[in-house]
Amino acid sequence: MRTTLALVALALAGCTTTTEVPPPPPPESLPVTIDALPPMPDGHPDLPGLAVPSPAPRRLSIEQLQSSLDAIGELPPGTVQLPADLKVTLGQPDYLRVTEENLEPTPLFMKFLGDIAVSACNSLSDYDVVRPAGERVMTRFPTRDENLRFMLLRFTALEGAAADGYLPRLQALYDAASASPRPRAGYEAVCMALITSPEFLVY
Amino acid sequence: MKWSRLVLALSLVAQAALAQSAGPVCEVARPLDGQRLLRRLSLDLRHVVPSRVEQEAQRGHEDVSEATIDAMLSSDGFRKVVRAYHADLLWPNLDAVEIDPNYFDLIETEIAPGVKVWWSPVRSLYYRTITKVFVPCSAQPASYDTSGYLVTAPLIEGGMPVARQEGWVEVEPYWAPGTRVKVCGYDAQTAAQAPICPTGGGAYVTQTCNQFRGYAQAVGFDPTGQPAACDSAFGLLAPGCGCGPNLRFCSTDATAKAVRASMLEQQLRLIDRIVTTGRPYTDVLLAKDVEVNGPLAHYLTFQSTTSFDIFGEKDVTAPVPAGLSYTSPGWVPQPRAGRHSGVLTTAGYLLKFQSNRARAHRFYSAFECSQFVPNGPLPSPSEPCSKREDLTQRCGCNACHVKLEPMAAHWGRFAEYGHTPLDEARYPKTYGTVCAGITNLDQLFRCFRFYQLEAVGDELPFKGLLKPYVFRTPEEEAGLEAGPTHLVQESIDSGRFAQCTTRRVWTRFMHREPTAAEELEVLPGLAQDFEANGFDFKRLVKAVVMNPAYRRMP
Repeated sequence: MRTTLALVALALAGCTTTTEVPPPPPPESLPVTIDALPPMPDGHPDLPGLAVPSPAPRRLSIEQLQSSLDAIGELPPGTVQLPADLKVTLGQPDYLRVTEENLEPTPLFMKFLGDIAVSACNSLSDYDVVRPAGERVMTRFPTRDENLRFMLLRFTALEGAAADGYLPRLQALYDAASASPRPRAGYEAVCMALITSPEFLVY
Repeated sequence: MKWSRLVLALSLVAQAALAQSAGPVCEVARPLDGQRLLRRLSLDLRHVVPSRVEQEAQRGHEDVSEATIDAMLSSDGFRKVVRAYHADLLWPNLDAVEIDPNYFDLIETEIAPGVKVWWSPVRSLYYRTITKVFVPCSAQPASYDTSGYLVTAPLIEGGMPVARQEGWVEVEPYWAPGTRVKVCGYDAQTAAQAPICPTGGGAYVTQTCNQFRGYAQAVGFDPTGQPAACDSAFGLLAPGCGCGPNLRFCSTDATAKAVRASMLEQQLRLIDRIVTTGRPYTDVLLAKDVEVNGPLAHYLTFQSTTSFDIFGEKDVTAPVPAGLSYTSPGWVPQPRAGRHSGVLTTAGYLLKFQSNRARAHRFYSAFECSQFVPNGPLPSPSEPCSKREDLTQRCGCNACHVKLEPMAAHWGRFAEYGHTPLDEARYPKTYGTVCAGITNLDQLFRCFRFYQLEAVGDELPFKGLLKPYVFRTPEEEAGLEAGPTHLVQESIDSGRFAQCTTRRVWTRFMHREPTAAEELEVLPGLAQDFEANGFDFKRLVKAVVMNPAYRRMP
């Protein structure tokens, strides 16, 4: 409606006046100056020191993702197999059109990873209860926190003090998801969070 | 499923929260703790996270033991990592390569209820078509006249004959010994050779033969009635030719797929053996020994000569071991001699990179870490130097080709768009004995495909030479006749091969290019150590992952 009114007003103006309205002056550009680098957090090393060489972070390849889900799930190698076309879509080279693996965590990749996480975690959860305790991934120990720590270690290799900061958030997620009537929904949610986390996906 | 989505949404929120857990202090340049170092090593060296047992054993250790790294380097996972590394160099995919020419391709069709036959639609076009194309045989058993020729009956549509059809015969196919399948009579013929372009050979045969005669008669050769080998591309023009005994000359989608996969696997198996047994890594480019399996042996024995586009011949320098059939299990050694040189002369490499320039370019890029880069825009095409036939002289082009052409010549004694060597006896340097007095189809084919028959401008001094010799200097001819081994040895001797391999391995495991300081201070030492220790690939990888930089946080 507003657009229609504006068009009518414009038409009327065009019919009733011949006076040209001068264009508005160009907006003044805002000066941007950087006087100093922003303050660094306490304990942050000097910026020039950041050039210490180390490996660059790298996303898991499709091959690594598949075999790692097998290993974490304690499944026979080759159990997790993405369809060949999907692998190419997610960045694996086919050496016909693509000769270099795309290891960017693109939105498309993350979308499918979310799907994979749902499927893998639900299956693992269903399988967990029929396995001996020593082979379980989600419900290996009697307490929630022991299980969360175990899952964090298996998915991300974080343990001990390095894992402490993660635990409260996983606990909160577990508790929120456990409101569901679905059994082990808390563990499934934690599993999905871990699969889609940078700590699992990037190394 | 809805609940799963909700849980996923919650998990994504939690995941964002996970990212905040690291605290305010940057961890740049801090060493990884033991568990995370183990994870990085395991992912890099085996493509998989550590097992539960390995993580338990790592507990309480800040470093990962050398023994653990050695175990990873000896694992099957590392073999797969090495394969993936080389796949990125060799681009193993032959899906676009027509190793199975369509006139030798069989498909299975149900031509009547309960009657499935194998037949070649393109052969049908040549032999059965009058006006209607792609007609299979009739659903009756084949019959033969007193001379042994297939009896055909017209297919009538709208009162007119549109095709002529023979019946089917039962054959034991090479891909499933012990079974019998129905095959259209023309396709099931077993002759080793038959005359081409006979009178009454069918509309398409006649049409194609008329065109072919036009070319052949230009060199004084009339192909009419000439015997053609039925496992050659000329077999299409010989209605007496079929797929041979047990259909051995023909392929199906499944057999062609198996052959392509075997060609690629042959390269990777060579690399597997070299790296896992600790042979010098230079053998990847120099070794004579390869292996062959049933599908590849069958192809090399019976099918490699069937295509006009992809040239193949029996390779006397790499004989197929006797006794192998399509269904033989496993791989057996196939010794090679002559100009063969590691992966660079395997069928997989030669067919992936079909021109000699492409072969040289891939080698240059993959194993010397170098690229051909033009030195600017091309000059006007009306400039005299833009009209030079010799690309090493043509301005604009010469920036790359002055180096590329002599490199490419090293594959000059291997067929372009093919996978077999061109030996001096059948393919002499000059065309005299090949192109003079053509009396048969084989001679005609060799003459036209491989020799510089016409020449203009820069080419004039080279008229009549085997094409790879055109424009080559005497020094470059020496490289051509020595083969790819000569090019590889130069690269090894100059240090370029070791430097490039070191750089690639560093880049692979550090997940980034080396810094300028590393180029100067770290890589030369690694390359020197690699070379001094017999080009031990595993040792090089170990040196990279043992480097302090590898053990820092990203």
